[in-house]
Amino acid sequence: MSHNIFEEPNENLLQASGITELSILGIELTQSIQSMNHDVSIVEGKPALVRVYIDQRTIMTSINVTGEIRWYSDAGEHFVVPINIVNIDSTTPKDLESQRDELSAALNFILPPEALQEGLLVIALDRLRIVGEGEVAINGNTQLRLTVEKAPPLRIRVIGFRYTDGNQSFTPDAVHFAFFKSYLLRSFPTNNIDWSQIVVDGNFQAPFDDITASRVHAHLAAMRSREISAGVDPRTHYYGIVSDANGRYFLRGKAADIPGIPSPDIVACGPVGEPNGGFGGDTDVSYADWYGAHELCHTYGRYHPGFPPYDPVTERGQDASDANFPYPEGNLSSDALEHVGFDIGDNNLNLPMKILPRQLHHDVMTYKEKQWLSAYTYQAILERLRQEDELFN
Amino acid sequence: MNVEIESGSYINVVAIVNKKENTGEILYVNPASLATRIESTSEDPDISITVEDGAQNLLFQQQALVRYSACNESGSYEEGLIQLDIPYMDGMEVIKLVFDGKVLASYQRQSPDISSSHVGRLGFSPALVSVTKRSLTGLENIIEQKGVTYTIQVKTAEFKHWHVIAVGLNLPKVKIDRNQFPNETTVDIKVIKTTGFDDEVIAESHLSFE
Ligand SMILES: [Zn+2]
Repeated sequence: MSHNIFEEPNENLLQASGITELSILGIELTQSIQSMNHDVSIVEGKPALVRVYIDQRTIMTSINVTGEIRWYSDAGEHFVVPINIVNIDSTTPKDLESQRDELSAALNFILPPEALQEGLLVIALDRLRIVGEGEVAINGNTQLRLTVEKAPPLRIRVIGFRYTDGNQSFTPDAVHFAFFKSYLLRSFPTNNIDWSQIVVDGNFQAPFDDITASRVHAHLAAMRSREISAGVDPRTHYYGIVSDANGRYFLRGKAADIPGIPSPDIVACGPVGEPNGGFGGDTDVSYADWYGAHELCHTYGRYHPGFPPYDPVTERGQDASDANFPYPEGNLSSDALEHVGFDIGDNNLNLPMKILPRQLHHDVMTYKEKQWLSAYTYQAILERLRQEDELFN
Repeated sequence: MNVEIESGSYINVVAIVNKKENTGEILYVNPASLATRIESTSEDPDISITVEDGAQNLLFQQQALVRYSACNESGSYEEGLIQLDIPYMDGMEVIKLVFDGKVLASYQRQSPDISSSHVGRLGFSPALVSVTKRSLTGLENIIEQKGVTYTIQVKTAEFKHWHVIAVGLNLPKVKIDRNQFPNETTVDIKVIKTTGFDDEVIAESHLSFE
């Protein structure tokens, strides 16, 4: 006999687990990359994910857990409900490391930008509830106290160059600008991107040769000089993008230099196009994002970690010009440092929220696939953005 | 090393140089009112930018800070970029890119031929259905002249500074893509004729896309 769903729930459906308390392994707040020690800067205004990790080892049944956190700061106090429910199953208990590597394995909360104001931020886990049963007691440290830092702006002007091969004209599609901008917002240590873009006719033709990128750099430098004379902020970086004409013409990306000191006058350029199912481990519709981030990072003084290592026989691989890169294989972290990447995603571009496990993803300055900013690069960019913000005052 | 910004009258020179091949080009010369001054110890002692007057007297000489690009295929690339802002001096006539005593490229100031830039009324080519690019009209009578280039700048309600849609053109031929200004019905357009040493605004107009 079917149950009238508008009557009170059928109690037989609810099988009590007998669990009255749950232990917490930790709480993490991540914006782009983070460790359990929170040794990566948390910056103002950048949306954050709060992750609550529950000790699963003592649970002898299958339960679904939900809960509630509260954040408070000078901006006030607010409750936040989770974006998921965690299923804990005694047949597949997950330790802290596997929970951190999998989005759905922890109880996740999104903090709105207003929660991320410069100064003290406290996250408190107020409630855990077993779905269908009720609230349980919480064991362990339920509070996370963090300091939110001021985020300097990233000033960038992106110039799309139109060119012809004598028969046909090629223009970077709008989607590539959008992917690049979104990637910078998601992965870089700021939520403050001073962005502008335009398409102009390039000073070169396809097919490209050894000096095409230099001609593009020169064009960018001349535009930049004209524009800062006309009032554009002289701290603005200029990055040029060139369509790969569906794989027909590929302008290998280059930065004009790797400046040791803050130098927003250093220009860079790179190709844009579709990864066609896998270039750089990228399966979406544009590789303009990580490719552009790599070249842009050069203009903020970042060198190559040397992965994959340069092979003089095949002449492939990467020079190890950054002797200080701290992680093996160009990974996002070493195992000891336990950083895990986080990509909040972008609904407008159909990019889902993702956790980026450190062994599967690589620092944006390598030539390895699935690129993101490691903590090492993230902190260095933050420092350089701060120095550039102070320039010319 | 230190980077500063100074305002005044400058000539912005952009050049590329290849020491291995003994080649170089001065690609852009334009007036600037803001200069990036870089105090550096890494100038290339072999490469310099010089400026002479009409009687070949040296007015300015500076070892160039040559930027060598990152992310090259190893060893395949020797091209360097020079971006230099030279203080404006009366009588500047020739800019030279010099490597090891040899002039790789030079840029000669020209007296602009007034009759070469007869400008009509600035406008857009007619709006056509499904065509988003509109040519700039009124500039058809301009004749190409060596040492004279054109910069075209646009200003919109959204982007409040004059920004460049073309620089270093031999002729001011440009198409304005309506799609680039999605929130605008009008734009301000300015056409600058330059010898590299002096700018002259030859046309300026407030144009509607309608
Ligand atoms: Zn690189």
